[in-house]
Amino acid sequence: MTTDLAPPTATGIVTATDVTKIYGSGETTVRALDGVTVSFPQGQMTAIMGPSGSGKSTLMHCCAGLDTVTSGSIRLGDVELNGLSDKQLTLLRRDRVGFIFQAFNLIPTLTAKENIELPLALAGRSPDPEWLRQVVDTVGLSSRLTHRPSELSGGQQQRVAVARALASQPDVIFADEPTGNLDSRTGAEILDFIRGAVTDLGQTVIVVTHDPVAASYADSVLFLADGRIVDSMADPTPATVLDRIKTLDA
Amino acid sequence: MILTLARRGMLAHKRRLVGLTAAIALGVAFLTGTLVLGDTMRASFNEVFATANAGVDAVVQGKTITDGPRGNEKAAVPADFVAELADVPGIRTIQPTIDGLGQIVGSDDEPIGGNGPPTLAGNWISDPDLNPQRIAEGRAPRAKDEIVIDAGSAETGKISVGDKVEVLLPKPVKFTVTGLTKYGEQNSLGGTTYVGMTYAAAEKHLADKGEVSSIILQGEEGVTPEDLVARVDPLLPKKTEVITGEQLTEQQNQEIQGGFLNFFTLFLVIFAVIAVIVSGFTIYNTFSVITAQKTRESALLRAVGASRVQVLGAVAGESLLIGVLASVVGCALGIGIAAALVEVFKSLGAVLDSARLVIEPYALATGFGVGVLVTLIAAIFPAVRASRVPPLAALRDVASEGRARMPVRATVGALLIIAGVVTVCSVAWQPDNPLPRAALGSVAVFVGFVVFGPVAARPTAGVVGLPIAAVRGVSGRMARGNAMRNPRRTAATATALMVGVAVVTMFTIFASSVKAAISDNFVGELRAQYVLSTTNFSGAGFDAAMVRKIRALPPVEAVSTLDPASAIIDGEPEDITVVNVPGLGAVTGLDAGLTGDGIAVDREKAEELDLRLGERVTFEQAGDPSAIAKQKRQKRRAARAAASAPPGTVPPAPPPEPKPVKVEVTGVYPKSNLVNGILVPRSLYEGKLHAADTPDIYTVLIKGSPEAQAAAQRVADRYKAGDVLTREEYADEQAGQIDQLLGIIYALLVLAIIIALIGIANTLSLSVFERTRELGLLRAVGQTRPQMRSMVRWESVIIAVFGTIGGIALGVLLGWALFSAVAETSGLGGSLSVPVGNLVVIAIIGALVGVLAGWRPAARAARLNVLAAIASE
Repeated sequence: MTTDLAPPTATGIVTATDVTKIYGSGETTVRALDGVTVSFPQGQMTAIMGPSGSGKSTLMHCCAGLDTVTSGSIRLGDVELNGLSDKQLTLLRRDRVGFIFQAFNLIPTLTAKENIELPLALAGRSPDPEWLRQVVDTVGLSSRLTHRPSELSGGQQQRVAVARALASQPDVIFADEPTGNLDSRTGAEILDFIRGAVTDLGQTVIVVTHDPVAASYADSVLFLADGRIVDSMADPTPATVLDRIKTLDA
Repeated sequence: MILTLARRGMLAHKRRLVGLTAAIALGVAFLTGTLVLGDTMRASFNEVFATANAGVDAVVQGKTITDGPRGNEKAAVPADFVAELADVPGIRTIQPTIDGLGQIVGSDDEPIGGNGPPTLAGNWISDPDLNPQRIAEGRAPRAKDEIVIDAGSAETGKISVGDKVEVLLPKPVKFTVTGLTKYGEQNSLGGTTYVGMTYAAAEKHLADKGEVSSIILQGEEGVTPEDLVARVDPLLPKKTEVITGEQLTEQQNQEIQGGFLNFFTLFLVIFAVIAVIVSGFTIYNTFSVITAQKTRESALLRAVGASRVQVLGAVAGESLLIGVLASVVGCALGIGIAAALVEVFKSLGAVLDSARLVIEPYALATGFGVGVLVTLIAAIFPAVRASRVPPLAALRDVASEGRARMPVRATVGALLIIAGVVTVCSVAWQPDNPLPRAALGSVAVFVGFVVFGPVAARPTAGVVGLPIAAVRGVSGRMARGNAMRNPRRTAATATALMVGVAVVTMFTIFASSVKAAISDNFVGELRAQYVLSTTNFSGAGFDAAMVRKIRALPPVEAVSTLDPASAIIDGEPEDITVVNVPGLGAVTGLDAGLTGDGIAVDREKAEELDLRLGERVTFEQAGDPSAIAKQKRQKRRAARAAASAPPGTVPPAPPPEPKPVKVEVTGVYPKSNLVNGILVPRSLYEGKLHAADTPDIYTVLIKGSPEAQAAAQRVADRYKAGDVLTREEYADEQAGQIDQLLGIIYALLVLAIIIALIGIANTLSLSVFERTRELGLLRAVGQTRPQMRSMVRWESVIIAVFGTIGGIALGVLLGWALFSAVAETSGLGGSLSVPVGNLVVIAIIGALVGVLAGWRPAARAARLNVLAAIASE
């Protein structure tokens, strides 16, 4: 099944075409992705949902250049990821992709500010101070910049992670269960920041989640099951998403 | 059950096991190898002596009189005792021996040997039962000008039977070589050279008149060695003894063991102990990290009902298994090392070709026991600490990095260091027992450093890391942060390297200070421009005639010999320096007030012995009592002869009996580092005492112009006495010898450094493993593999530099302690000299150790699978 989430006028910033990912060999072969074709529109927030083992994380990893596909093509902007070396993929992630993970997002030996600037520092670029201030203000961290991760609450740590993802002005931010470790109030705060980045700053975000509330912050939701895209939904609400998941699980 | 856990724990981490085993095994191998080598050499010497004494039933020899500056000296045996022995019933053979030193000059005009093993000379004994050497070519010497030499020297010096050669006795004497000797199948024994001459020639060249070195006895059929001893004993002259051949072998073994062999083995054992200490720290550290990582596993065990003792038992069991395994490997490796070294020694001739490796059970037991024990102790401390954590806290707490009780540590560490430094300082103020006190202070300083390490780790790593962070960007910053994040681990990792570097630094500083002191003493205080010093280490001195000839040269302004010796002053042994009165003032600048009849003392000695100018002391030469005994015997015999002489004949007058002479203190001089506290004119020996027992001449100081040097050189060349050096060259030459020794020490310490390197690599690998998730994140957000490698490597460098800085600081303190103690005991004087250049080199090597140690962990970190790393927890 082919799904084109983008409106006809918008270009997809990340495009997967007939992507298959097979783990293992022989008896133990697992088809994590099975002929997935999808295009994620620029300047929008897209949620990927699906039950455990549906391939949603694998899809994210492949699109983000963390994993390679068995067949098919992944394009990030004008770059074809298939066939890139480890080094090229690393530089691509550093310069064009932002990440927000569920936990262990930060380097414990670096301060909040250093963590935010990490991808830029790795690239040897100095951050645009104006942009950095804007990002830090947006996530409300100005007073915490010199603190180490261990001195920050879980919510503050995730805010630093969001700021880091935004700092390098990447083409796309991948968020893997960004609120999975947070209580609902703090989680909502983080999702507000991510949503704000999309609405106010025009950032493209792809978020993998199994939380219908988190998915409802997205412009559209993609549903995966058994390595295939089974459905999509525009303008989701927690209720509509929850409904759809129930039918998927059934 | 607990043992199963221990075994599984061990097998689960093979790589870690390899690192640990290597660290322990290297230490054990060095220790075992040293002991086996020592035993093998001992057995080889034993065999040499046993063979040499095979046909000896009993021997009459002088008693040991004194431990002189060049080893212990035995009294001589009066030659006329040989005739007396003829009257003793039951003796089949009476063979006097005369032993001395003589250096053969090769056909290229260069003296052979003399750079360690003795250049032996003696009367050739043709009875194969009494002489382990045999003539392999030619024949025995028959005339006074004929000799046999060992085949080794013949080969080195390109000398053939029939050649005329010169032998330095130390006066050069020409001989004709009539034969070549071999020692069993060996050309020479342990690098020694040998000259065998007729008894008459030996009497003339090697002995003082009327003396022999020993008398070998063989009993007739049915007379046991014990019988012989019993019969000869009542007749013995004073200061002599008679012992059986077996006792002789035993005594010779004791002597070589008490001297060279014990020193040699002790020297190696010291370095083995250093290696074991370093591996102890390495093991301790590795187990600390492992235990920290296993805290949750242990907590789970505790939660499901294991007692603290059982959890500890698992750790003890695991370390025991590793210790046993590594110690077995180490013992085997040690035997291998010893075998290889024995082969090397065989090729040098220092060990008999027939020598077999002697592996005593105690050597293996020592190596094995030390290895297992060190492992157990090093493992149990971190385990005890970990077991104190309440199980639930451990299960909850993800971070396994414990906090040290820093204030306590800081206080205890600082106090220990201060106490140690004060103790060492006190050596200078209160010069009793300087060595033990310096050692005590050093131990306190060392323990203080180890205790203080974790306190210093964070700030030091921070400072060391600053330039790296500045230059290497974010990778450098993270390397710095990683090195600082667990100060206890950083300190423990660095400690092993610290110990190695400290010892290297200590010896470097000590050597440089000794060199500076020697150079100051010579170049600074000496007025003579030139030095002629024997290059012969085997104990042979210069011919007195040569000194006289040099003194007589027109361009030479002044000459004095300057030789350390010992003498008995008022019944107490004292270190003295034997000098020539006329030249002394000119060559040393000392106004000692010597007249030739009296002695001079420096102010310090005068105070110590409570001596004033003009007072008198009794003076005996240390080696003199034999001469006195001989005179007494001659007197007795003369009296007997007189009693039995027919009336009318005049009995020969007994020679005058040289008593310990009373001499006046004719001078008191300021303390000088050039000479000992008591100066004795050479003429005192030649005049009032037994002239032939004058101490050998080793150092001749010459004042004069460059023409004097050239002229003196021409004389020296005639005596094959080596080069007349300027005092600067001489100081350099002495320094060169110290550098050679330092080179050997460095080579031995390389092992400790390698073990420390393994330790750092081990800990880093474990840290990398612990931080998998973090490393995965770094890679995900764009850290390239080279950046990650650089990060881990720089962390390794920071840890290594921290250890190196600590080691250099500790080493400077220890070197200072060692030097002040030695300077105090030996009267060397001088002040501490810190060779900054060498320390910089040591620091650079320390940093390179860091680079090397970080190599594999860095490569492993860079190989991490990003996805797996992110997914791991």
